[in-house]
Amino acid sequence: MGRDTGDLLQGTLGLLILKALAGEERHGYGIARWIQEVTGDVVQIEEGSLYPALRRLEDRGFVESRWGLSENNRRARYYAVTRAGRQHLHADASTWMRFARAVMRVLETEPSVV
Amino acid sequence: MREQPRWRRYLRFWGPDVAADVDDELRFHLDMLERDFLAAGLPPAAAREEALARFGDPGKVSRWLRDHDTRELRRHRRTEAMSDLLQDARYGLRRLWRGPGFTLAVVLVLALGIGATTAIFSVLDAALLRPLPYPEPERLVAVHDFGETEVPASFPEYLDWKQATEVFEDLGAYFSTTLPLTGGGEPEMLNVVQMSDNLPRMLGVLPRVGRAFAPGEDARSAERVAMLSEELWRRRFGGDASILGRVITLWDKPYTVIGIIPPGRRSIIPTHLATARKIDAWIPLRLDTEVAPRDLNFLDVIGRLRPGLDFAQAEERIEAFARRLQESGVTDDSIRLGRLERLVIGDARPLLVALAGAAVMVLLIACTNVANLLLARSAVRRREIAVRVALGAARGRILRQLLVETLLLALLGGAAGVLVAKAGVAGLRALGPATVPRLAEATVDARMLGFALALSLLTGLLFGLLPALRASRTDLAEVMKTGAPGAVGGPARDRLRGALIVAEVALSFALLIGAGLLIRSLDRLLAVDKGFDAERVVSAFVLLPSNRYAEAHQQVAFFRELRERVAALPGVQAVAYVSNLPMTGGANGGFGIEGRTYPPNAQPFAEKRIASPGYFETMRTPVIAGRTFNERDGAGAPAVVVVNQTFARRYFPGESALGKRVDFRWGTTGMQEIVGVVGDVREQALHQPAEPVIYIPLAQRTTEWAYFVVRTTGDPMAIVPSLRQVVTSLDRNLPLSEVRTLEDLVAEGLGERRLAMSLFGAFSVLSLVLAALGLYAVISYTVVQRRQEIGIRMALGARAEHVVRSVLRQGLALIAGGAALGALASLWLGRFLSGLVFGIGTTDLTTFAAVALLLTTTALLASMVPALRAAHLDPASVLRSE
Repeated sequence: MGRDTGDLLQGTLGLLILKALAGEERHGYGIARWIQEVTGDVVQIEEGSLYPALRRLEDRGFVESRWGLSENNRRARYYAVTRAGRQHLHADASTWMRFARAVMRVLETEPSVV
Repeated sequence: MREQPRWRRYLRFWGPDVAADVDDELRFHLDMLERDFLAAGLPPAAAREEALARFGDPGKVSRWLRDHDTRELRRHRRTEAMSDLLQDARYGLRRLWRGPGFTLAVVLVLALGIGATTAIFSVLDAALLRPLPYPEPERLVAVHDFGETEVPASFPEYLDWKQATEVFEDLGAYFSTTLPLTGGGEPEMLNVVQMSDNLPRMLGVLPRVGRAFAPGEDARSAERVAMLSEELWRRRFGGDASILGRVITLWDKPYTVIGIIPPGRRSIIPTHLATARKIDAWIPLRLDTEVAPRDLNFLDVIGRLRPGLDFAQAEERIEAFARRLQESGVTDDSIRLGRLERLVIGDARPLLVALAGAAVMVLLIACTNVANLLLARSAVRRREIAVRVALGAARGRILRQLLVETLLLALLGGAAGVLVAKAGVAGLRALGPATVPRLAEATVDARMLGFALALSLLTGLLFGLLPALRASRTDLAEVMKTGAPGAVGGPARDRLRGALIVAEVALSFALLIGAGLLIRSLDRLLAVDKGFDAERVVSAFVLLPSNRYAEAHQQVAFFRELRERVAALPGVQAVAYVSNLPMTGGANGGFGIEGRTYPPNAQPFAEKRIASPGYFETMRTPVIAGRTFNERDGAGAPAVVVVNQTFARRYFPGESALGKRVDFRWGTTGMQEIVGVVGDVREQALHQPAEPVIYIPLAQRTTEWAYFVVRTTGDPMAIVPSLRQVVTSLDRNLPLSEVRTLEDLVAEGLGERRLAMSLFGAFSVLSLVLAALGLYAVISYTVVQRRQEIGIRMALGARAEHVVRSVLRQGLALIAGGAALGALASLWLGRFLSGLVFGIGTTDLTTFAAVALLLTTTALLASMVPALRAAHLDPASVLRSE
């Protein structure tokens, strides 16, 4: 996916962030790197847009943040997923999966495009 | 990841810096990206460019984050402050709950103060502050004839004034009267207002159905029309839809109904607005200068000022206009403009001012009392506060805690005060005399609730701040040093409490003076020689239909017949007629004296009354000289009059009035001989000294209406049914109205004073109790404080009376200070009561002496209890306990 698919990502960016934080606490840069690694460079986001998304998640109580020191001793803001965030991640993920499976089924019907 | 080092926290010592945080966060991200690209082997410039490309526009993101974070920070601070406040409130409530005695005392005192003030203010608001219910009320003015005093206008004057178009855009006139409605059911006396045809438009009186008066309909020659009140229409005509165009009979004359007026404040004329007296019917004036000549002043005139003309300009122009009238020789009188509100408020201003003053004083006393209670409490809590300060509580936080507590108390007091106010307004409306303007409109509405709330908050802040400030400035060492929890507080605190007591005593003194003056005034008024005996006399009003009793002899015959039949009733001692009852005012005007001429502006002036034979005997008015009227003073007999003592003294000083001849000048011609002088009767009001009065016999100056007075042997009201029967048997279309006893009439005239007196009485007793309690508390407190000293003195041989004296001395100083201040204040405040005080000065020495005695005795008693307690201290146990 290219950068012009940012709109499509808007809804799912939150999901990706929550997933990124599910394992451990990360700063914004760390989240970007995790997404890049896991998706194998397929999902490329404008990394600045992570921050508004993080604030929105924080406002909804899905993540919380605190200031800490990074690996190279710099002051960085760390984000962690909350209990509510985890629940939201599960609910959202299953919806997403159902949707994805449904789309797959549609695409696999004859004449198949995949 | 590691914790950031402790010192870093101090970078944010002054609270979070949103912009710096956002920049830190974004810069970190960009720097890390750049480092990655450098590591991948890109040259620095390219690495930066690539990092920016990956990140997007940092400026845009930064702006968004800053906005967002600032907003969040603000919201966070708000909720934090709220939760602190809630915590304080919870803590405060818990404390108040744990000290129910203190809480109850403060709430009760505040409730009384705030309740009384709010109730009285509701009445004032209705009377003075709410705008009159007419369109553009600020342009409406009352217009009076002004000779020696302001009097209503005569019809010709009204016509003159209509020419003053440089002042008035419109000028209307009205007078209220009662007329019998007959036909189709019991005859009934209606309250009727006769008005110029333009007045409904000026006052915004709009018919629900039908139309208002058309121009020209107030002419003598126009067809008779009437507008009815909706209430009368429903009650008397069953809400008949075809009422318009129907002809009703008022005073035996046919009137065509043209409109129905819905109920509402606008349908009330200004002079009735005060009492919300309902009007049953509106009819046009239908006057001409023949039936309403220049010496008959009975019209209330209302003008609408020209647009853009203010009151002062209007006054200037009307003066010039009046001068022109005087120069042209039409009249000697000038013209006065008055605010319409004054027409409404009438004579009730002194009462309203007195009520407001009393309420404010009660509030002040309540507040000083509460401040005193709070001070006493903060003294007790000093240790707790000192400990909290020592444990690191910020002074601001403690101050806030104390203030929140006080505000809670004030709000509780305010809420209870609203209940008191509601009860008070209901009570005032039920008991208050009809003369308090617009009393029926008084309610505790949203604005009054706001007023009570503001009052509570102000009280809480003002009187809570001082004790709170003192308490929070607590020095732990000093508190801990002094040991016993009661024995705290420096001389400054004592001075403050002393000052509060002095203020309370002074306020009490002033209120007691008010109550005393009013009680003595009422006493004087009740002792006034009214000039008649009101006991067991009932009065009623009769109005004869003019077409069936058109001729003078018919009227005289009717009145004589009625009188004879009533006199024959069992239980009737005497019966007579008079044109106006005592203490209600009535006709007055100039008259002539044979052989004397007066300049036009110094004409002799007298009250004029028509009386039947037996009037003075029925009223038991003493005869000073000559005789009273008898049945021989008929139409053909020599014309005679009787005058009162004041008349005789003023116009015939040093000689006998008997045999002198005067010209009555009220529907009479020629001279009448004075045949008798009677005692002065209070014709205007109980508190107004007698004016000269001329009485003329009914048979020589007939009238279509009169009040009859019946003296009975038993309960005067018991005679009323048979009285009605007699009237109906004579003429079944004659309603009897205004039936009441003369004792009720006297009581009505005293209503305002009674109300003022009761309120001042209640308020002053309340204040006395509060002041005594305050004094008791302060003296008790100092006794506790001086325990040790007293114990030592007694151990050294001081006798009990010495101890008592030394404690009392302190109380006496406060009382004397308060009384002296109160006396000074009362000397000045008395002027506001001058309108209600009668027969004594507002600086009446007896009242001042009595109040000083009462207050001093009460205060001494209040100080005596703790003084005696001090004297009974056991020195041994006191010294041991230290």
